[in-house]
Amino acid sequence: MLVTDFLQMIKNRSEPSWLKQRRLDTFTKFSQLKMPDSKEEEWRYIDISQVNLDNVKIDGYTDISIDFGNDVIVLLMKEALNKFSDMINEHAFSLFTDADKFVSFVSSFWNNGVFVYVPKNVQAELPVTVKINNTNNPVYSLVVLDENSKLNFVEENVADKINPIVSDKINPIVSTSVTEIFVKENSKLNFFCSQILPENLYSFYYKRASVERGAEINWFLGSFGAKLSRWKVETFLKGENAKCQKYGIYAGNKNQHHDIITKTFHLVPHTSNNILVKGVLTGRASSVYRGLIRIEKNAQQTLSYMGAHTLLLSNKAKSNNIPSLEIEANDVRATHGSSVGQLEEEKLFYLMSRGLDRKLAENIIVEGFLETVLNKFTSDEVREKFRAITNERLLNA
Amino acid sequence: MRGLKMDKMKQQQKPKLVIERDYSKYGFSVDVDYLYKARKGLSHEIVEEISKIKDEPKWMLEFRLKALEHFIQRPLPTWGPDLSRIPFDDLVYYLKPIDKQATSWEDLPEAIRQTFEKLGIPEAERKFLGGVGAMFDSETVYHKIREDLAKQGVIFCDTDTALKEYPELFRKYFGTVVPYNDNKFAALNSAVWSGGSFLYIPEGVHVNIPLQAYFRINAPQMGQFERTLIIAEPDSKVHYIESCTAGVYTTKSLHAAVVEIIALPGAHVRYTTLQNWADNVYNLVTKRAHAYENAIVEWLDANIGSQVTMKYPSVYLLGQGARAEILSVAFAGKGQHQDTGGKAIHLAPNTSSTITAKSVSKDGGKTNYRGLIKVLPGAINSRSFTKCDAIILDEQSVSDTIPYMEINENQVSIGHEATVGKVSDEQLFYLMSRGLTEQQALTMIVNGFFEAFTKELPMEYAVEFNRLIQLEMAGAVG
Amino acid sequence: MELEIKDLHVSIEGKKILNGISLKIKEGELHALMGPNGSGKSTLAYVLMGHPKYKIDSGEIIFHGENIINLTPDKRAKLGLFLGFQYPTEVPGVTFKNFLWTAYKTLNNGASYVDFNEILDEKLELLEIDKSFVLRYLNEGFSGGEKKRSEILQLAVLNPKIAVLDETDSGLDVDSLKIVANGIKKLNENGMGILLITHYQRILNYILPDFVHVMTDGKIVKSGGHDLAKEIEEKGYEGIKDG
Repeated sequence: MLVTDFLQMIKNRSEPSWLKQRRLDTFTKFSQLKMPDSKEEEWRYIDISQVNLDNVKIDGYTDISIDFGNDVIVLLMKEALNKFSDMINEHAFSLFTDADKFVSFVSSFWNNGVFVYVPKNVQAELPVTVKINNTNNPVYSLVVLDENSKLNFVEENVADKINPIVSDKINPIVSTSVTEIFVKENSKLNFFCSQILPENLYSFYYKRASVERGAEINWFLGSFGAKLSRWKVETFLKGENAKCQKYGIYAGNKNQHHDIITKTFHLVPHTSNNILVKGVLTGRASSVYRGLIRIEKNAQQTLSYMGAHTLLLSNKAKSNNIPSLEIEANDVRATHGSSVGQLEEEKLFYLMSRGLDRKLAENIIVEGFLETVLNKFTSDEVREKFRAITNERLLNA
Repeated sequence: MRGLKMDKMKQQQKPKLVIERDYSKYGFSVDVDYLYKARKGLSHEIVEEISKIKDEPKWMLEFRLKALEHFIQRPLPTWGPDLSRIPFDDLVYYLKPIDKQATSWEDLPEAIRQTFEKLGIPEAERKFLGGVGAMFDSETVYHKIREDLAKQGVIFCDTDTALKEYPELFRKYFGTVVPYNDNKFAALNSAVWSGGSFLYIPEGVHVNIPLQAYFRINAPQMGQFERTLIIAEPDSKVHYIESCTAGVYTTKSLHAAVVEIIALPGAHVRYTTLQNWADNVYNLVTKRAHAYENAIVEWLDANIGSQVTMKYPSVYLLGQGARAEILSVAFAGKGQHQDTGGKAIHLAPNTSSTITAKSVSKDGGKTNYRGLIKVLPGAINSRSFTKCDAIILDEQSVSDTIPYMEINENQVSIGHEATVGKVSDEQLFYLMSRGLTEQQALTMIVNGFFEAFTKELPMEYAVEFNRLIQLEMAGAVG
Repeated sequence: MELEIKDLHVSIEGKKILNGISLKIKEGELHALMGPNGSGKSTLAYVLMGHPKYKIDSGEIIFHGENIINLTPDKRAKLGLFLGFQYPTEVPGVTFKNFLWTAYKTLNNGASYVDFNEILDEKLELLEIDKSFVLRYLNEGFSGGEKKRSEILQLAVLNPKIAVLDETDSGLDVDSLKIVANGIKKLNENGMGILLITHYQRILNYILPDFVHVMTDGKIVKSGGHDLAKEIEEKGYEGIKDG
């Protein structure tokens, strides 16, 4: 986007002046940054040669539907800017001081998103459900749980308006979003997020959460669609007794690429983290799981686990796993386990000997493989939905 | 056992000890009148001079110059330990101690002979080795193989000699496993290599006693660039051991070796390294093996010394049924960074690999496990398992684990497990409840932790390894 | 030589576990400490040996005439105290023999390896343990019964003044139980003071304790002779408490 177009865009929007200024600042940064190159470690196994953020066409507002109970505040970002300008100003992109090309793209051009605020001591009964209609327009969402509150948040990413058949190789749709989450003292957030995009989209989701003393975040992630899907989900455990759990599944078919990064930073003592990510790939699908547990020097008495497992259903499918640990403290226990394998013939044989056909037997084994992640889900509805999507993508493929 | 109560008691019992690494046995150096000493720094002229002194064929000089070009152009790695302080321009790249290699220790100049006596090499040779090569700075000064082995056709000589005496065999394999442009330090080695071992085992021959090479850096601010080539013909078997030590200096030295192993069908090669360089040495080594059908390659790699080590012994599993066993242990004390691990590349069906890595960091030391398991399309029924355990002994020390798994085939079974943490309180308490002091208990637990490695060593080496660990563990209870 | 526990109050992470235990064990005496699960028996065993996890709020442990509560476990062992663990910890890569020899020579200044081997062989025979056992890694892959025998073997070789045996009888089949009980009996007859912590009175069919103590909720609620064990079997712990 040209500077003149950008200035015109800012001018046309009725936004607080701080936001305009900030867009200008980040736009400068965005313009200076180059698109990442495969020599950079985090971009090593991902082909983004078709993606050029400098040429992405942006127009209008992202269509988002929201559904929630009346004890929490949920607004579309463009409306929230009027009522909660100060709070947004305080939090927006404060966790992303190290913004890369993609994050600075979102912070320059975001047009809509969701603003969620759970006031002190409010334990929301009903979930907040958000459906985001992905387009080229970047999305920024902010979720703030004030002290001693509780929320179930469900984010669904779809692209209803995009014709999945029409594929534009020269200018593919590039969907980007940044979500910042603040879980304040003694609060608890269950964050469900799924990506069910048509297979001609590229999606890049950045999510960061700051978790304070005694607070807890539980991520439940499902990555299913898109041609190329990149998630970067990072958790900063900032207060003692803060907890993080990340449960994720991905299912890839055809030429899809699922690229998932999770990072957990233990910044203070007595924090815990548990990660389990499982994926199933068929066709020519490929995946990268890159995990990091980092335990800072003073973050003693930390417990951290990371599990990453991939099942390859076809011999053209590929998987790369890099579950890393960076441990600077000694009185800790950090462990990881990782595996890549196929359906075990023994198991298939057993099931088939009971009369199941091969397809059904495979089905059951795949379900069992993913079950250890799905049974951690605290929402039956989301679990069932993820199950159904997985079945559809893998088994009827 | 690191409870508050105990910490308080310990303070009452004794002052905090700061113990430096103990070099009493290895840290000495001797005065030698070198026959030739290259001037500091690296240039085309120096490379040409080395080649000329060695009276090499033209192809080798060309190889060296090509490698030098690549070394100059190639940037330092952007990952891993900080290498920016290697004083490339101040190093001496070639240092020739004697004119003619000896086959008897008595023929060596007194200072050099005494060095190896003090290190116990002639004694070990008499007792339990089938052959010994001893390298002193840039040249192999002593080389000998037991007659019965020589009679069976086993060739064990230094690499320079091999180039002259077995030119065809040499040229067939040299640089085929680690190309000159593999990485910056392989390029450097290819440009200025000197010394190292050449080992050839004929088809079907089993060498049942270990062959040993000893690498010694005596002079300050030097680079040692030995080059080792092992060719194991079908169904042969050999165990090669190398030890490395150096005189202690305040200036930096560099050791950049290249080791190439070719294990032909059914061959079994075990390569054991006991690296105990002084901690002013940068140890940046490329070790790689090609394993053909049903061959077995074992890397047993212990890194105790050096300031910085970067070493990831690799096996390319090229033939059906080939197997790789990599056992890597590391100990990082004050100021040390051990960046070690292993790689297995599965290129053929029914291949298997096991990587076991164990590390201990202490007094601010840093250990990294860095590994790669790669399975290429078609390498069906590949099996691989990696297990990494790291113990961090105190609050100053750190450990990273960075395993890569690149799996491009589905009929495989690939697993990886890792743990990082301190010595278990329960183990310490158990041992102490039987009367062992905390120091004794810690040392015992750490020795037990490394047992998977030591039990694979010949007895004499296991004893020495445990002694070194015990020295390193001194002052672990602060 | 005696071990005297005086009004011991102990907590872990702020939670009180022992609420004023007093007990005196002399050399040659055999005390049985019984009580339901969670009554604090194992805590007492750990505290006597000096596990750093527990906080002593008040009270004393007198051994050799000195209060040992600030001593590390190795110092206590050196004074002649021994703990037989309920769940012995695995120490991979360390052979049983290497470990026991290290402990033996630490406890006995100037001990000879020859003597040690003789004692070890003798005790192996006494406890009917195969010689190859000592070359295995300490407790690693030991069955429940092997772990308990390993504890008693260590007890017999190190020969402390006072031994606290935490549930040494659990997980043993009848034959092993007999062997272990006889071993303990012999050591006791030779003058070792023993505090036998047990949940069941099964082992007491083989060794007759001089004293039986019943512990519930971190307190010794009743002490008596060996008849008390029978009474417990009949009435259960609740019955004892109420009575």
